[in-house]
Amino acid sequence: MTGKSILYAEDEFTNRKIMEIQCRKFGVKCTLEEDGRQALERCCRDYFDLVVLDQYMPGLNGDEVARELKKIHPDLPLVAITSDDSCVPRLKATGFDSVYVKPLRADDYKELLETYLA
Amino acid sequence: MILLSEVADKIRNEIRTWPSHRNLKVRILIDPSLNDAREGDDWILSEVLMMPVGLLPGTVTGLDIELSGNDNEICIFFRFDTISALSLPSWNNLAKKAAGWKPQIRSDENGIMLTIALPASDAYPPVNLNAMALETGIQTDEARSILKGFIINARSHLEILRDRTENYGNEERFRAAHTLKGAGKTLRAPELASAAMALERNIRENIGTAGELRKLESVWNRIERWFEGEDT
Repeated sequence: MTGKSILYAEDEFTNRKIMEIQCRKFGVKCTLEEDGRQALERCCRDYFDLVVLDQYMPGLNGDEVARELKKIHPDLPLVAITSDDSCVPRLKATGFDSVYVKPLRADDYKELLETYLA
Repeated sequence: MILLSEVADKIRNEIRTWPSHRNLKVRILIDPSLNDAREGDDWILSEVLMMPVGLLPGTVTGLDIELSGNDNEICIFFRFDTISALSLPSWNNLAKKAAGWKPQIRSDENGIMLTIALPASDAYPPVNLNAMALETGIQTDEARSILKGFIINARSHLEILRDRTENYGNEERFRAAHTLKGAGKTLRAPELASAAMALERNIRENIGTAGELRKLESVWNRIERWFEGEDT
């Protein structure tokens, strides 16, 4: 997966930093955004192999970003991360390829990156 | 509150990964009256339980761990299947050092009983950097650096929650509490997570938040003080 790139949109600092460290470990280029609208704009400008979206964000929520992205890049893999496990079925129905519930563990990061970037 | 059964599962799963203890069958029996642990107690329990188990010789193939106790103390009985606990003096000595919790130790032909006085809840570090590092697969130094960044970044969320003017609406206050709750989970800071969760709930239901905010402020101050000590 070395050389692949992801966009991670997450308004919470600690989660952004952990994802950044995990991506570095796997040789993946990680672009970070803190706001859903900015994430959507970034995806329109730049190419990513995977987009990971926090569900609850300023600007636009993860599912709102995902709906727009599906129209623009229907084949782009989309992963949601939420702290509310009751949202999982709804997020899957939105079109996310995978949904993870916080807090993520080391194995979750590995699985997430390997599944879509290996 | 943390379920002791979850602590037990964590310990069993961890032991399964130790090559030297591949054949060790561990059963953890929990007194039903001792169902929940306080926030932080899962840590003391896993430390006190894991270290003695790690020191058992390979000849021991079966071990029952029985947990009982009350609000003030916890009793952990290690019952072995094949050898007398009395024949394990080195284990006994090492168990005394278990994570500095100074258990009282009593042994007989069936096993060893550790009795540990539970410390006041504020004796626990408010952030478990080692657990965070281990569980998220990063280095402890990286976890420390993330905590440092969090303390700087999160002040803006606290400012929103403290603000008594009309500058911020419920949506922004809810978002600030939600963010602190998520960070508390990620940092393995259970008091922060639960204080922020209580605040988030009251904001959502549009009921009073003064008590919850005081609790959050108190947890926050504790984290800052603790981190200053860690960082020097």
